[in-house]
Amino acid sequence: MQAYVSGAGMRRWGNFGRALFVLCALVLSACSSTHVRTDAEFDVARDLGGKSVVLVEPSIQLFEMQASGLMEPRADWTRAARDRLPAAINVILAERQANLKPEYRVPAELPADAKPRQVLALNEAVINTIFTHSYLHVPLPTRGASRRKPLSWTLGPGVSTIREQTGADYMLTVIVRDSYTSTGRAALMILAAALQVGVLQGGQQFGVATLVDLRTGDVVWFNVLSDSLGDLRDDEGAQATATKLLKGLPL
Amino acid sequence: MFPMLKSLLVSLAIALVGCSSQPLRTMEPGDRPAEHTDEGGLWDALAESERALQRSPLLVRDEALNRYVNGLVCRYAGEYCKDIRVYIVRRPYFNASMAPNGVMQVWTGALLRAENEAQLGFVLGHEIGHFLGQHSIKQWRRTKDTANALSLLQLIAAGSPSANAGDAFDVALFAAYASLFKYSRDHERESDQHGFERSVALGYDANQGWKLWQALLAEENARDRRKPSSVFATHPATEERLTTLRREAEALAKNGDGTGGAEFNEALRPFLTTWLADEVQRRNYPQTLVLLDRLQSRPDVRNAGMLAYFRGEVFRKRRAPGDDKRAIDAYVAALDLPGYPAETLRDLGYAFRRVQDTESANRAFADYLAARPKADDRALIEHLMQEPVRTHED
Amino acid sequence: MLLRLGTFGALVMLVACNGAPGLVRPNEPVRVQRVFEVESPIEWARYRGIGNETWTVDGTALNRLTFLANIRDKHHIFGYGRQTRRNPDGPFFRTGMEPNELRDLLVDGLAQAGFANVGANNVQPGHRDGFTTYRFDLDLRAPNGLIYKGHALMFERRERLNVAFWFAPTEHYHGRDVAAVEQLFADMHFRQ
Repeated sequence: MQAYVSGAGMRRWGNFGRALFVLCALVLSACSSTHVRTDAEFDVARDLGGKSVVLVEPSIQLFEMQASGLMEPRADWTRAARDRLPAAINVILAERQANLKPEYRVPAELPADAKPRQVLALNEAVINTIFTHSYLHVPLPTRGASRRKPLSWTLGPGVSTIREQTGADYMLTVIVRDSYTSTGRAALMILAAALQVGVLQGGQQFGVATLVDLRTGDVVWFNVLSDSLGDLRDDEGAQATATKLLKGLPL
Repeated sequence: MFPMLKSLLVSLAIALVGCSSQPLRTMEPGDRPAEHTDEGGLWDALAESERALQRSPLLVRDEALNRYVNGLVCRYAGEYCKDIRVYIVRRPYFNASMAPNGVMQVWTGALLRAENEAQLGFVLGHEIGHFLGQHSIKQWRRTKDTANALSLLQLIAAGSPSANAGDAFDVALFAAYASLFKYSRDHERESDQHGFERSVALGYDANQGWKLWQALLAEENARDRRKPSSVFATHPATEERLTTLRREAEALAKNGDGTGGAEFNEALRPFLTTWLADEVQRRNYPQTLVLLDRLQSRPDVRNAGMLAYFRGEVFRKRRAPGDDKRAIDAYVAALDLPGYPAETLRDLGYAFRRVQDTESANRAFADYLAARPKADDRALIEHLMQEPVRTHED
Repeated sequence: MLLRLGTFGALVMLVACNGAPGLVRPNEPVRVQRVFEVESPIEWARYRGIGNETWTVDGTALNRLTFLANIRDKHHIFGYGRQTRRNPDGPFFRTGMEPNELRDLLVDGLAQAGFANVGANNVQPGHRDGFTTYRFDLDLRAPNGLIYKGHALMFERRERLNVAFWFAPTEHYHGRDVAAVEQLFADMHFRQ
């Protein structure tokens, strides 16, 4: 969250340089990308109409980025997003003839060793692993050398415990961290650009989603969303985010 | 950069540090902060951390122990009892912490180090002081303002390579950091005061607070200076806090003499072996030895054999010159004291092997197997009884 | 923070790695760090470091087989420096350590690396290729509560310590590979 110090050579470029710099800053801060991977069977068209999906312990947190870059959690935005995003996901799934089961959380009184907790802890480890090897491209020779390799990770048959608890055919995991530029931060960003000392990063939307087949435990779809313009604070933005987050979902 | 603009920015940055003027909420029992506030945001994010804590492998779930610690927290917190949720965390450092949403963490290293209920109560009262003083939220606002000011200063420094700007930057930076640290020391003092006053009101001996700090300070001073792992995770004991508490205790006209009943020992006793093993696992032996000395000198010590055994473990693991002999002495001493574990015999056997005394080693091993016929390391011990001793130099 | 990547960050740090990773093919003998001779029934990705190697099938959070070779007297089991007068206390190897001390080294090292409730039991002595070996079972948890099980083998060779350990989550992964890894450990040989 620090300023990139890169201004030294800029001074002699004059007004043109300044304009270019500000433009670059704007372009840089407006990028949006998704990283979709599906398992090999995705090529065989999945007809999953009528199948059910359960959203499991979604983790959604919205922040306001302070002038310093410090992230301050915002409860009001977060609560609204926790309502809006699942609703928007539901709309998309309904359009594809799938239905969304009520959100599942492991009961608080269950100890760490309980089966559903272990399955979800493994899910976390698997998501980290896919993130490392697929999104960050850390090579893993057992999975081949190709960068656009299909997904081939599994949680194993233990996932049946989640199916029994929820009655769903698929488990959807959603992790979203969304930050918004505060007025103080915006002022500092403009100041940084004007003083030609570097580009300060503004608010960012970052999300990871996976879909697990609750019969086999296989991770059938994985997506990473990174977007500097996404906004979960209104219905329209939530709909747009859900669309990007569920991009390529084999349902 | 223009000098005028620069000085303007520097004064703006300095002004920002001092602008934490947002009022604290009046905190009645059962209150929650409004959702749209910064505090509401922290509570929401903390709820997520609390869920993670609930499934942590480090959480100590023992019902009796939790009931005891919760009961003591309630006595100290009074009508705010319901606002505080206590989690006992298995970590061998002296720490307790209080989040603004009422999540209190008490680490097992703190339970191990409290000598009696009065000392534990003082620590809990101190944490409740943080809670009632709303220190976390104050600290958050202070950090936020300071960080904002600092990031402005970084811009100034980045924009001006001249030496002058560097000076202005350093001075302002120093002021910003100093204010941050001073703030948290004030919090500690205020919370000590709260813990002290509650202890006095509940009839406990007012001297127990400073006695605990004194003991912790002794441990802190014994540590390996080069090691980052101090026994304190967050709460440094300082001479200043110790003297303040001591002076106040001595100034009291009437001082209670209670250090609590037998419930303290009963609740903690089942865990001492585990916690002492965790303590030795830190491999910060000078501190552990100071702690063992103190626990052993308690007037009502009932597990002297256990403490002597772990003293032997420290020497066995440390292997400094002379430690082989010290380990043997400690294990042998343990065998004459109540409460030594059967492993004492086995580890005495190992210690004898280190000084090439195979005969004594095998006798200790044989005694161990006799005392524990179903020991899961029987095969290993029987193997060692056949294996010649290695020679080695230190 | 986002994905609690830090959870396994400590593990990645356990062993430094250099060069591009390779592949261990099933049933082909492989020499590891000039000490271990290994033949595996299953395929592994192989990350080679200096004095250490880590093998994994699906990623190190899902299964991890680590070899540590030629740890010298007074050196940290995971290579975090060495024992000095200023830094006297830590899981440092000392020549001639007894099996309980060797076990404590690995247990304390794993605890230091961020695992919780690390346990080692069922130490089994053995002899192989002229060396005395000690094998034991491991039981540990990641900070997010995921339970791992596995086992370790340690032996001293030319006054230096050599270690091989494997662990995987009890949920699915341990059960899937345990037979193959047992065989790998049973078939392992050491150079003189």
